[in-house]
Amino acid sequence: MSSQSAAWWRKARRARDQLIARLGTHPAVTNIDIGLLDPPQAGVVGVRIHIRGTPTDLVVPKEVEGIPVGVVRGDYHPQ
Amino acid sequence: MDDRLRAARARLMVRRLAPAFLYNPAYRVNMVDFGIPIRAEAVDERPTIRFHVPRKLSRAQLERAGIEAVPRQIGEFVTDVIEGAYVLHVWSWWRPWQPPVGSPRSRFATMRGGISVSVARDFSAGTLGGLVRDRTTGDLMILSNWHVLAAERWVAAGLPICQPGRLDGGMPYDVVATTTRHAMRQNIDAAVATLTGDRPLINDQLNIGPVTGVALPRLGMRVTKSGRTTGVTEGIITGVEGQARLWYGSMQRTIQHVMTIVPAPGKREVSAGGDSGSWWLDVETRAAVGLHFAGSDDPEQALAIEMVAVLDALDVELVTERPPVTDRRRPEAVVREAWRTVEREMAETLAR
Repeated sequence: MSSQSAAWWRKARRARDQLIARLGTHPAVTNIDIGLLDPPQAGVVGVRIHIRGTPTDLVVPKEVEGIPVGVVRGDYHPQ
Repeated sequence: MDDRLRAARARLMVRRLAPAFLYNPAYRVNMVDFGIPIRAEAVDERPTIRFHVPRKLSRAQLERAGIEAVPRQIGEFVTDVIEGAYVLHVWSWWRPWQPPVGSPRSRFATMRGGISVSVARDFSAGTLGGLVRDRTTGDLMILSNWHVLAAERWVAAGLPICQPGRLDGGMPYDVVATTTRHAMRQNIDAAVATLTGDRPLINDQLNIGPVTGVALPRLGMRVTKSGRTTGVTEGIITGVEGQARLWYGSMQRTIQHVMTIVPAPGKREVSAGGDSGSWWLDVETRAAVGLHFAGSDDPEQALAIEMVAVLDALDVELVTERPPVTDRRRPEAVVREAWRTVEREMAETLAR
């Protein structure tokens, strides 16, 4: 499934780091990673912003450096 | 004499006499009361003063054993001696329910990954991840989460670890390891505890099998884990190289090298509270890819930390040998020291 090139991964990591810098401190953001965007069956890989609840003040770009960005739900707790 | 008057006098006599017999080791008396005599030669069946002793002995036996005989008569009462050794019938409210043998929550004589473990002083339970070796000293260790093996920012090395965890009936004498170091400063929720040697830990994941090595996670990789709460579950990796922020009690911490796992098709559950510390393995190769540490119920997802990053941060390597590994027995002094630490910390907690 992860058939992206090394160059794509480098770009994706840069995009992820930019988004961590921009959105990482937002209280609703619980995780920022590189993975399958919703719906996962579509197989589109990009940077994902995991959020808890439905924040109205969170503005997420559609893409960063050509890498698609998506929002997924996830309210995580240590287990 | 009127029976009521006789009973009243006897009660007064018992109250006055009892301490002299109960607390004098010369008489081996357990109890003094007023009741019906139990003796073969009884001619007077009215209640009298009775002495309860562990064993009735003849006068000669008493003399040989150096035990004083109780008086045969006290006032108008011909005393009686009754055999009775009494013990407390304690309801063990303090002893928790014991899970069935073989359950991940039970006590294992030979430990393996996927079973219950906790800090000895905390009423909690997480999962013993598996067996690792210190890259420098070669010491054998348990690898699990920081919040399972330490759980305190200011924790010092030497914290005793119980198997099973205290929530699953583990007692302070079930100490099997002591916390050695953790990686929270590197934003990795992981820690290692050095085995005391009281019980061996082998390279085996309960109901899965031995770990074959380490692998990097891949999107779409099918993984499995054995955990203390949900047992063996399967999932699919849908996200990698994440940075998560979680609340640990009142502290918010950032965790790096995070992968996201969703239930495999047709499965509902991937993890639950108590599974922290489990190792996620590649289904095809049984290579360890992640250390489970968190999850969400809606939607059902698990978070794990890349195993390669965990091992590097803690400066340990997986033990992949299959045969049982027996740790060298550490000096008894270390175990005694662990005990003292538990007792001291419990006393300090109570004092607060």
